[in-house]
Amino acid sequence: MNEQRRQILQMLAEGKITAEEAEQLIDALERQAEPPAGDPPRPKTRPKYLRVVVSTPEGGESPSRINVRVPLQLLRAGVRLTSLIPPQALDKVNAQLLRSGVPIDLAQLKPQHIEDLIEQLDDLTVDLDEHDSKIRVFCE
Amino acid sequence: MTPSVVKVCWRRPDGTWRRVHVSVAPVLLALSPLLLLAALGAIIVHRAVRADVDTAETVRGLRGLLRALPGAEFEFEQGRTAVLVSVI
Repeated sequence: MNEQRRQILQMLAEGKITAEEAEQLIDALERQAEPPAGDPPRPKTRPKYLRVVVSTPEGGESPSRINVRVPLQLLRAGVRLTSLIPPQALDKVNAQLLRSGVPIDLAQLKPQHIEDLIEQLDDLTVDLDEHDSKIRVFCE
Repeated sequence: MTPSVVKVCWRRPDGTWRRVHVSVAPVLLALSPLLLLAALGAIIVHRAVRADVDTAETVRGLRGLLRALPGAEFEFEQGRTAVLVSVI
């Protein structure tokens, strides 16, 4: 659609059409772009929440259930805050990680990377079934 | 959108639910002297430690965190005990 609009503007710039004709053509393009009134809504909407559900079977001694809903926007906001960690603190954390046998350089982990990770969480579904508990992590 | 109400529900021993809606604004107003003290303390510590932290960025980050809170929900249920906390 942008290409057609560009062509119209180019024709206008070259003087092949008048401003009025260009306006009519752009209006026609916009009408085409609008979905028909009877169209059903899009079936898939973008997930807004990360849901974590931990449950134990009903038959147990004291069945328990934890259900946490975290807005994805909250995750993003939290990730932005990680950029405020001072470099000295990161150096100390890196040293401790190395000492524990986890050679990860957190300084290389940019907020943009984590934001990209959160963007891809939409399709994440984790299902863990154990004999005494069940864990589900998914986006909704 | 900042959180306006926190809904707290819990199940009583007889199985009935109690619901309490707490407005955030009056609570913040009541706690404002403490919050002011905390903010002053944070500024003094920041100056004393000379931490390499951008204050404006921190405030922006905290504001973003606060704005993203609505919709958060925590539900815990064990046996006859159940608690639900929801930020609206």
